[in-house]
Amino acid sequence: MIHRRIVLAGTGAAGVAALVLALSVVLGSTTRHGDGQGPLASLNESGSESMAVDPTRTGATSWTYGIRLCVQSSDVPAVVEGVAPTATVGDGFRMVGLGLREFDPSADHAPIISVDGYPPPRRDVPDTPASVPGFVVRTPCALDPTARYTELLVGLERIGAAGGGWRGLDVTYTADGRRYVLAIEHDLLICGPAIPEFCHGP
Amino acid sequence: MRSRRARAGRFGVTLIAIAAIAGGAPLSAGATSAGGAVPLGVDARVLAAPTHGVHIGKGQLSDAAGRAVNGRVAILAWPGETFLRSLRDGVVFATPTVGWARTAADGRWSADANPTLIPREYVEPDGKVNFVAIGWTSMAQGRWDFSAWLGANASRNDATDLSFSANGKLDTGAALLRTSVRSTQRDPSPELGIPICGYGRVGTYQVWSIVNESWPYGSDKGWLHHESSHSVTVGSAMSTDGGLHFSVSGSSTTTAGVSFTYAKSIAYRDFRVGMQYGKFRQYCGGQPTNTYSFRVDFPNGGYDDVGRSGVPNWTYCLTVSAGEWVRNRTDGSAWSFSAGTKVAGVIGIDLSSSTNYSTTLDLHYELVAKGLVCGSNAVPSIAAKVKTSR
Repeated sequence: MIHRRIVLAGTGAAGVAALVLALSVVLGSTTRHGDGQGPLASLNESGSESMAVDPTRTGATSWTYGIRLCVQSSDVPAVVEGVAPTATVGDGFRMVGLGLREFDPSADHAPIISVDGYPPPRRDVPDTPASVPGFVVRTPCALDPTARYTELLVGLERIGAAGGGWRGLDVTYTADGRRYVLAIEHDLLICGPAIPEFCHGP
Repeated sequence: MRSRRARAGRFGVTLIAIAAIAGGAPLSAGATSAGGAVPLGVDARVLAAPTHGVHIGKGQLSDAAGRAVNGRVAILAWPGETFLRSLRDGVVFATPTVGWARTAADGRWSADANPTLIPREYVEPDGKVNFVAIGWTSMAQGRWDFSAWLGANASRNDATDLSFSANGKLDTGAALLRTSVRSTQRDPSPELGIPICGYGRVGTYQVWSIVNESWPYGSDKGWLHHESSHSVTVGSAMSTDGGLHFSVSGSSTTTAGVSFTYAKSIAYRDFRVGMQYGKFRQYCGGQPTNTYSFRVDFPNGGYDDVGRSGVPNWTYCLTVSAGEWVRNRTDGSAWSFSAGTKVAGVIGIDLSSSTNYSTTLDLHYELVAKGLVCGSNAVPSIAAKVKTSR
């Protein structure tokens, strides 16, 4: 049941994300910003991250990727409207779901970079992810590993040998009465010929 | 004839630099200007008229006790990374006087540099130039190294306070005229035959700075790609007693335009990059003086890794699947260049770094199975150091 809810949430979120982005372009009222340069953030500073999962080592066919979301000020919460890739590479994948969770991290309840399977195994993600549209991010950006944490979960499934995935994420949200797009430099990838720069090393 | 032409070709870059200031009568030791005696190395001809050009900085001149003094400040140009990379041992390069200013009664000064007096080879691609400020009174002199921009970034030149003290005895070069100093074999010879002051490199020193670490678990592998194109400003030092004692004399800037990828490995490693420092000796009229400058030369492009032991116990851990995880940092906040300024073993003092070693570091880990990526002081994406674990 939980798995089904996540899948449904993902399908709905994708539609909302596309609609929001289309409206933003038409209305020209959306402010696009980088990480650490608007009310909603991920790293809250410059830098980027990539995760390329290796199907030959894991044996899995789908994966869940985790991306931190936080707000610059707890007085200015961010209402998420949708999530979409900034760009994609390859055609050996498809998105199978989106979700958001908020929790208090501990040794056996930690954030993830990626885990095998989507929906994620409960041993790795014991929470029930919430639907993306309308989710309110209130957790302030902090370095404290025990501070309350909000995590975006993205599910990708391998559908071909080429691999590939998302090159960055765009999170559309509203805060303080304005609409923004947070561009996160975080790649969610599946190893394969579509991304030759990954999974081989120097 | 053939060898002379070949020599001219080899020293073409230096000749161009020197020609920029050697068009008139040669500067002699013990020069004076309308304002009185002039320190050795300062071209008195430039002091004949006010300098108009690019504002390069301001500061305050003081005496050895820190009291403001009234005097003059001359600005000399020093070559940058591009020129120094091509500088051969045995060649003296010019340090042309490119501007000057009188101090106010409270010692404050503000100086321009005349860009037409600065050899083109001394200007880095980003418009930055290394300068030497020489301040003096009727009895004392001092020196401060700094960098400033020409062109569009010149508005940033006042960001740094260039205050320094005239804490040494005024040296007009009179002793140089009386004493014939014998050159050592490593000293640059006066082969250009131009009796002006300049500097020649008499020694180089490699300093290594650790830029990151890798701690892969078991059969996991770690590696690093390092790429930098930003400026590094590093402290410099000078000696006026023949190199016996050095004191801090400001800073100089070099770019860190190096790029390399360390091979992936299961070993625990430090990743290190190399910076070359140069020890430069002043020559006037072909004769060596007792003035030395010790300063950053250029990044030598060298890199190395050194094995480590003892796995750290970092607990900012996130779960990760088998595959490749990459973390890119560009702000340099986690790694400063301070380790690259430990030169006390060479000149008796350590130098400072006034800015972080700004660079791009891509830290890679290849995990052979599901595991953990752990940060040293924060979550792995922003931590200073990262390891893999299970």
